[in-house]
This record gives sequence, structure tokens and C-alpha cells, in this order.
Amino acid sequence: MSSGGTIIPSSFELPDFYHFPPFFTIQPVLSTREKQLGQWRELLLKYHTDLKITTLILHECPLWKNNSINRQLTKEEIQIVVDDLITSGYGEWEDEHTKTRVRILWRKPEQLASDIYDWAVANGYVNSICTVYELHSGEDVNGMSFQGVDEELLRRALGVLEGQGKCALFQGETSEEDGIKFF
Amino acid sequence: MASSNNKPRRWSPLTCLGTTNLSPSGLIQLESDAGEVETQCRTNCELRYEGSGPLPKPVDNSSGFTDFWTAIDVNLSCHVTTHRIVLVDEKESIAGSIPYPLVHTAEGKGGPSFRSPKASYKIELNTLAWGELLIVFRGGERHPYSQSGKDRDAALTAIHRAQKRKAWEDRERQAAKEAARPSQTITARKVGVDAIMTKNKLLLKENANLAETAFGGNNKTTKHVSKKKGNQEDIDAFMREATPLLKVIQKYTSTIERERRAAASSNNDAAKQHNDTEKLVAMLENMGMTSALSEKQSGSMYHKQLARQIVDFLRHNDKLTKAGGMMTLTDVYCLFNRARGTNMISPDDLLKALDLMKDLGLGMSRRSFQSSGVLVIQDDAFDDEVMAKKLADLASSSMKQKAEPIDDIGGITVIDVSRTLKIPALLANEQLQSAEQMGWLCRDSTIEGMRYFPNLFQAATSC
Repeated sequence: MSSGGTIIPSSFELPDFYHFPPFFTIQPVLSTREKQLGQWRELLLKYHTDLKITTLILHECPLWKNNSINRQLTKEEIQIVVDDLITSGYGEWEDEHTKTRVRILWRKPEQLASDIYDWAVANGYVNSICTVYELHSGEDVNGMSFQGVDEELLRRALGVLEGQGKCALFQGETSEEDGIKFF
Repeated sequence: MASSNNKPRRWSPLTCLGTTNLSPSGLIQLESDAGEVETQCRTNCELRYEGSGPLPKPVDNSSGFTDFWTAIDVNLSCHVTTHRIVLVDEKESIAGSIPYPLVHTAEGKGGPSFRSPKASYKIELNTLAWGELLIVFRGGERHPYSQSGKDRDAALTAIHRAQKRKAWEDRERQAAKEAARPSQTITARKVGVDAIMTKNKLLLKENANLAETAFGGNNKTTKHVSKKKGNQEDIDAFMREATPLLKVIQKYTSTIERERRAAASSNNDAAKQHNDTEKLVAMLENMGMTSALSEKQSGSMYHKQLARQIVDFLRHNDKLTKAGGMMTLTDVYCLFNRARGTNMISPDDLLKALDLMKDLGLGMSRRSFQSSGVLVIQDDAFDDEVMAKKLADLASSSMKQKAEPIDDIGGITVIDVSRTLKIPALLANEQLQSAEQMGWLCRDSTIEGMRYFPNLFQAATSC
């Protein structure tokens, strides 16, 4: 589990709207606000997936402030953006009560689940077993959406598949060796 | 008296007069329920007691005085009211009163004479409680001598008038008059319906007489009385009858209220009563008494005409168009009244006329902005969309000019719009907010203020 540092690395390409001053004021007009929050969501997801950061720590995220145009979001506005992220299903609170850390679900578990199942079918894994390790780091998964994905997230997706009756989980010696059988 | 407890009080004519309380800001507290009114005020006066020996200290508060008697108080202001003469030392916040019942005579003294060409102007008061007191007028900073003469004369006239009018006896006089009115005395002897009918007849007659005496003035003046003096006596007569006149008017307005309410609830016989009350309402509105009367505009002729006049005025020289098609009501009110000069309209008149404009189809109407409630008069040709687009263009052009990355980011403020479009800042603010609501602009809020940018969010694709 990695959390972000406090500076945006120069390798990360900031979108155009990051330099538009009104981006840092949550708009009162609802239709405009929806568009704006959509852009924030896009930015947050891109940032966290590109830099492979799984947890957003509210007060440490460097995205809230853009020094080049001298604008930043206020605490209340940050809360609005994060709440929107969570409502849209792309994040969830790690600490429900203190609300300081958000687990980024850059892909919704449901989405991952269907991706995994499609891959399993396409690669002939139906009715056979593969390990959790193979799913996120095996050679066969090169280029798939779930490659390198957080184990926690993977398990969530597998849970969804289990619920759908499309797989079953077996205990292995270590958690990485847990087996999955696809149906 | 507002003097502090530690400092010994001055022993002079002023402090020996009747106790007078000043308000915290130093104003005289008039007895307004007795109808006391200040009629004259002059500064640079002195009070002198010319008798031998000092005046006795006031009975109710004789402690804390110095032992040293001074016979002159300087730098006083002299206020003449309908009930008394008040002298105020503003610096020390002390005041003393001489009520008229205690004044025997007031005469003008002094002025230039053969022996002393620049002797000061004085008023000599012969009082029953303090003997002979002298009020000396020192005049102003420029031309002190001639000014002091005018001061003295004005004060003396006011004093004489007040003494003649005897306003302090008003209360007892009114009470005695009430009791002596034939409507009270005659009907005391009658009984039953007869008494009521006679009483009503006599009341009506008295009210008519009241109006005549109040407005008709004194008809017994001789032919040689100058015009100025005649007017003054008319005013005096009016003032005397003012209180009962006011009571009559209040009675009429409450009658109207009652009739209105009755007409609203029951529909029979409403037509006839309605006409009468409406006539009365129209008469009272004409005299300018609109306060208690109309709940909703009755669309009176006066206001309809006023509405047309206002529209003509605003169209003349394209005033409204030049102002951007929209003007705040305060601006309209000020411009219109200044143009009129006399016979100015009241804010209520403007509001009533405004309400009628739309129905009359005059091409202008009133508009109130939802969030702030600001009221404006707006040309019907004014289009919010057009204005919003104008503002969006303004905002866009401000962004192209951006050269440096940090400081001049672009965007427009209320001041920018106000300056460019030549409209008042209040209206500029409303237009910007309205354009934002329509989606043409978006806001950038910082501690430095509010800037508006073209709404680039709308163009972006959302995920």
C-alpha cells in the first residue's frame, strides 16, 4: 500500500483545466458544478493510477493546490470533491469515522470482476485453477486492467464473482497462493 | 443637570434657574406629550442677573455649589420653546429653564444709542421667581453686532408669540372645550335614539367648524394688517387646532378600514358603500395621506398618470437605454425628483406607479432579482440572454490578453464590468450572477474577491 508524497512529480502530465482558476472554486450553479466535479474525479483517478497510489490521504494530496496560478481548494471544497468521488463509487473511506483516508477504487470491483471473468474465459481458465498471484502479476495478464492491481481490490472483485457464482476461492499456504477456480 | 459629583458646581444665574435635564448628547428634552416645540435657537448669548447680591440656590438640589457667586454666564445658547426659555451651556452640559408662567414681561433693551453706539442688544425678562434677568446677544463671528440685533429680535418675537399662545394651557383648554361642546351638553339632557341622532348631527357640525377655523384663519383682522402678519396668525390658528384635527382624520381612516373589511366579507350593499369609501380614499390620497389607506393599489388616476410621466421621462434622451436598459429605483427616484424640482413624488408613489406600468403596457416594468431582492426598472426590450452573452464575450477577451502566467490570469470583476458597460456596480453584480446562473460564466472566488470567467466547464467532456 503506497500513499502519495506531497509534491506532484514533474512526470505527471497535468490537464489543461488544472490551470483554469475557476477549477479551484466549487461552482454554485449545479450544472456547472457537475461538470467540474467530473473533471476533479478524472484528475484524481488518473493521478492515483498513473503513480500507482492506492490511498488518498486528504491532507497530504498535492493536487488541491496549484501554485502556478496561486489557487487552492478550501477544506470544505476538498470535502465536497472527495464525497463526490465516493458517491460515484470510485473511492471509499478507510476510516469511516475520522474520514482522512480514501481507498481509490480506480476500477469499480464490479468492473474488475467482469474483466477477470472475461479473461479467464478467453484464456481457457474455466474449470481450472489459478492463484491470486498469477492474476495480478502473472505473464498471462500482461496488459489487462487488473494487472498490478491492489490485492485487496482483487479480492473484492473475486468476492463479486463468487457472489455471481462464477468462481470459488481456496485457501493456499500463503495468501498469494490462494486458488481461484472459475466456472 | 449633567455635572460630575466631584467638581463643585458653579453658582451663577444659570444654575439657579429651574432644573433642566439634557439628553446624553446634550439636547434639551422637550415635553412632546404636552406639545412642547422649540421655535428659536440662538447662540453666543449671556445670562446676567443685575440685582444686588446672589440668587438663592435652587431648592431641590442645593449641595455641591462653590461659595463664589458670578453674576454672568457666558457662551450660552438660548432656546425659545412654546412652553419656556431654555439657556444651555454646552461646554459644561448645564441648562436652566424659565417657564413662561413665571415670566411677567419680556422687553427688548439695548442697541445703539447716542451715548454708546455699540451697546449690546438685550432682552430684559421680568420674572416672578428670579427677579430681573438679562439675556445678552453677542452675535456671530462675522458682523457680530448686526447679527446680535437680528438674534435678539428673532428671539423676542418668538417669546412674545409663545406668551400669547399660552401653549402650556392647551391641555386644560382642550378638556374644557370638550366638556362644553354642545354635542356633549345638550345630549346629556336627551334620551334614547333622539340623543344619539342629535349628538351625531352636532358632531358633524363641530367637525366642519373645526376645519374652518383651522384652515380659514383669523377673519377678524383689520384691513391694515400686513400680509406677513396675517399668514402668521393663520398658522397659529392652525397649530392650535392641529391636535383635534388630527383626531378627526384618524377617525376617518379607521372608518375606511372598517368599511373596506366589511365590504370584503359581505357582498350585499357593497356597491354603494364601496363608492363612498373609494371617494374618500381618493380625496385623502390627493392630500397626500396614503399611509393607512390602500392595501393593494387601487390603480388610482394619479398613479396611472404618474406611471406615464415616469416612462416619458426615462425615454426622453434615451435615459434608460443609455443606462443599459435597466436602472435602480433609487436612481429613478433621484433623477425624477430633481427634474421636477417642486411637487416631488414620494417613494411610495414611485412604487405604486411602477406596479401599474406593466398593466398599462408602457414598455417598461419593474423587476426584482431573486437572490438579493434588488428592485429595478427594466426596458421590456432588455434581454438577459443578450446581456449574458455580452458578459461572456467580455470574459473571454480578458483571457486572451493573459501574458504572464501568474498575476494577470484574466477574468472579469464587478468593477471591470461596471467600468466597461457604464452601469452601476450594483447592477453589474446582478447581471454577472444572472449570467452565471444561465451557464455563460463560472466564478473564481479568492480572498481578493470574485472574478468571472467564461464557462469552459460546459465545453469539456465529462467522464
